[in-house]
Formats: sequence, C-alpha cells, structure tokens
Amino acid sequence: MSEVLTDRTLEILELETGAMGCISPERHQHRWFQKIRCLEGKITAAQSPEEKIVLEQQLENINRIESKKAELIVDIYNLNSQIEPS
Amino acid sequence: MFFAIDLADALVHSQLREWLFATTTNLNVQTNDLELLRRIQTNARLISLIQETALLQPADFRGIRDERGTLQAGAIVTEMNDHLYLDYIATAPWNLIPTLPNYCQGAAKSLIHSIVRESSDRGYNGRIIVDAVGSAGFYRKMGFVETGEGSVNAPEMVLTSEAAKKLMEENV
Repeated sequence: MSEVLTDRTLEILELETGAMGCISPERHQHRWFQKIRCLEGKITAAQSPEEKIVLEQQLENINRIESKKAELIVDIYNLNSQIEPS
Repeated sequence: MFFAIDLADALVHSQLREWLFATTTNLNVQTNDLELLRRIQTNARLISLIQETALLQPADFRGIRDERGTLQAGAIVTEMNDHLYLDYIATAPWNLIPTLPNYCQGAAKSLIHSIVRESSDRGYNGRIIVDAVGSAGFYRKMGFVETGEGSVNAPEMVLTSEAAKKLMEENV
C-alpha cells in the first residue's frame, strides 16, 4: 500500500487520508492526570474555603470535559484500528 | 492562497460551529465507500475535539482560511520541550468530498507549513510530532518519519529539523 501511495501527489493523499492527527489515548490520559495533580496541589494550598470551592469546581469541570474527550479519542482509535496502514 | 490563524476568536468559534453542522451533512451521505465513511466519522469526532479545546484554550488553536475567508483546516497545538505537538488536526468536513461546494485542495498541507514555520520561529528548528490516524501516507509524503511509537494505524511521526528545513525551502 505504501509503495502505491508514494506515487500520489500530496493533494491526493490529503483527500484520500483526510490528513488526520489525534493525540493517543495514553498521552491524553497522562496530560489529564497532570492537570488533576496540578489542581489538587492548588486545592491543598488554598487560602480560604471560597477559593477551595472554586478550585474544586474547576477540578470537576476538567474531569467532565477530559472524560468526554477521552471517549471521543478512544472512539477515533477504535474506528481506525481495522484499516490497512497507509 | 491561504491565510494562517493563530488564535480561536469569535469568528473561528462560529466557523467551527459551521464545521459541526457540515459534519452532520457528511454523516448522512449515501455511499458504499467504507473508507470514506470511516474518514467522515473520524473527522466529525476530531472537529468536536478541536471545537471543545478551542473554547477552553483559544491560544492553542491554529487554522487556515482561504481567500474567501472560509476556515479550511484547523488544529490544536501544544508546545513541548523541543517541538510542537499536534494534539488534533482536521480538514474542513467539505474537503473530504470533492463535489461539495466549499471543497478546496491543500488546506492541511498549508496548515502544516505554517506550523513548521512557527516551530522554527519558536526555536524548535521546525520539529513537529503528530499521531497520524490513518494518514501516515500523507505525513510521510510531507517528510515526516515514524518514531517507532504508536500503533500501525496511528504511528507517532516526527518532522525532523532537516526535513523541516527542506520543506520550508521547497515552500519559499
């Protein structure tokens, strides 16, 4: 397949592949944990109950958003797991 | 002629909403081409990820508009220690089907060229890394090489300093 593809122009390859790139599920999970660790550190160091509440809400939001992203990323990788490598 | 964008402003957010709408049209396309369906479904999910991330981290958005101002390709870029990493990159949904009205050729190529220049300007010698989902052939043609990480269908690929220099020279 790759030998065939080398004859294609870049424009044709862009059309035929969609030129798609997506962070791997493992790397995404690592970044997500980094964000959580960072926020947990800030929560521990919070100077007031109000600040702590705001940070805890941020943590909740991050977990909600990153969890949604994780589902989409895994979905993308599952969709593309059966194709012939280009 | 393409124009690079390095921030997700209100216009970009509105154009990404247009993309999402267009993905719905694509998802309803009648075709027996399973490869095209896979690209359409992957593209739709990538656009959701780009839109969501652009709202939260507008400074990480990169895009390309054509001469009519239509957003034709978009990406989310993260600055790493010695390179720029492409978290997500997708072309506009109409660029998957050449018969659609806004179809334009070479938008992703142009976006990558502008990110290579940015990587160079930031002192990373043009180095870029991407996990190429089903599109290794495209990135290989641009000069990227497999790092050995990732999977067969989504290899991690790097544009080395040398390849970036060559790409920029070709594009002068």
